[in-house]
Order: sequence, then C-alpha cells, then structure tokens
Amino acid sequence: MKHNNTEIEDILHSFDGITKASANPFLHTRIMAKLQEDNTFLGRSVNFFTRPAIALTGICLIVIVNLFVLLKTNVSDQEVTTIATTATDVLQNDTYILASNY
Amino acid sequence: MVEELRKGSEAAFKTIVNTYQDMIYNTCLSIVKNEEDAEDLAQEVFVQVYQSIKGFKGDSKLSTWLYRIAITKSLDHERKKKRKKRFGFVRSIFGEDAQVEINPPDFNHPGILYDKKEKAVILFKAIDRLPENQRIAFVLSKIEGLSYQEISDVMDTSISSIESLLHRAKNNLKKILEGKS
Repeated sequence: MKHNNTEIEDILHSFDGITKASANPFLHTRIMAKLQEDNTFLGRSVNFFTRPAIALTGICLIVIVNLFVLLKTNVSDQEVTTIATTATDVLQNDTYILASNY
Repeated sequence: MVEELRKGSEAAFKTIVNTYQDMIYNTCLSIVKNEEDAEDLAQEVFVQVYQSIKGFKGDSKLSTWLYRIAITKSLDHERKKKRKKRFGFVRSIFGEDAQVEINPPDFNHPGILYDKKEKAVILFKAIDRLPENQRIAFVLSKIEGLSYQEISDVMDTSISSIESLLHRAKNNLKKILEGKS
C-alpha cells in the first residue's frame, strides 16, 4: 500500500459525507420469527445446553464418570487376577494331591 | 419506552427496532464488512435486547447499550471467522468445506459517496490492520459520526483516551498507506 501524501489525505477523508446503510425493512418481522423459534421447547433446550457454564459442567461430568468407570474396572481386574491365582493354586494343590496318591 | 419493553410490550419493541435498526445494521456492517452477516448480527442484537432488557439498569443511554451489544457481537463474529480460517487446513483434511471468507476482498459500503468509493475500499483494508480498540474508535467516529463523549460512553473509557486512540489510529493508518507498516 504505497501512496503519496496527497493520496493518503484523500483516502483518509474518503468517509466524509458518508450516509448510514439501511437495514432490511422486514428486520422486525425476522426478529419476531427468531424470537418465536427460540421460544419453542427445542429452541430453549438448545439455548440452555449451549450455555458455556452448562456445557462445561456437562463435559466435566462426562470426564469424571469416565475416570470413575476406568478406576473401577482396574480394581475389578485385580480382583479377577487374585481369584484366578487362587483357583490355580487350588488346582495345583489338587494335582499335587492326585500325584501323591499315585 | 424501556419500561414498557420490560413489561413485555411488543409495540415498544417494534418502536425500538424501527428507531435503531439502521444504526445497529450500519455499525455491524462497518465492522464485519458483509451485508448478510451484518443483517444476521443486527437480528441477534435485537433478540438479545428483547431477552435481556431487564438487565439494562438505565445508567447509560439505550443507544449506548445497543452500540455495546452490536460491537461485542460483531467482534465475536470476526474472531469466530478468523478461528475457522485458522483451522481451515485441518478441516480440509477431513473433507469439510474449508473456504471461509473473512472479508470480501473489496468491501463497498453503500453509504459512501460515489466519487470516493475507490478510495474508501483502500481505507477499509487499512482499517482492518489497526488494533481492535483503535479500529472501533475510528469506525464510531468516522462512520457513525459519534462525538468523543459518545464514543467514550460506548467504549467505557475517558475522553482523553478516545482522543489518544483516534490520534494513534490516524498515524497508524498513514503508516499503513505509506507502506511502512
């Protein structure tokens, strides 16, 4: 954007005499339609769930539930392993008893 | 009128829309530089006015409050568009339409005098490169024709700050147009 001083002054004054752009004459009708749309059950639900606080709380809840389920699953796995070990021990003991009987 | 609107009067709301629609549309248009987006934003501004009129304490003029909502919404809209453009490449990888136009290359404001249109296009491009607060102060002063006092009310700052912002805006615009920036 290289311009000489006279051009720059002309450009800076190009907004002189500007008039306001006119809005759509049916703006009010459109706003009322939008308000009615927002007032339906679906519209209100969408507005409610897209509020930043609600959305953030929802995400936090999902993360917490996921973590809870993950931790709980790990604990259950350990229990299964312990039981399996015990069962193996029992079998081994049985085998030992059977072998000793022979 | 505000009191009537607080009571839920649709007639009062219609009067407010008819009185301020050009002002709001013009402000949004000067910031987003797209007629369709400006109309959508003007609608959103009035929807917010209708829904949150009870929160308007009346400390400032209604027009000041409307200007604040319009500017906030327009700037948010611009930020969203810029964000979309930034992630356009990632979106294109997943086959989504990534062509987001931030501003049309040549924005012609419908209120500019015919013989100044060409130069105004250059000025709008230069204004885009100003910092946000300088840009808003410049638009409110030169396009909306607000006084320093009114701009300071809208931007919630002192008159001397507005004078300084406009002075810096003009200097920066000169630098941009000289090709130094």
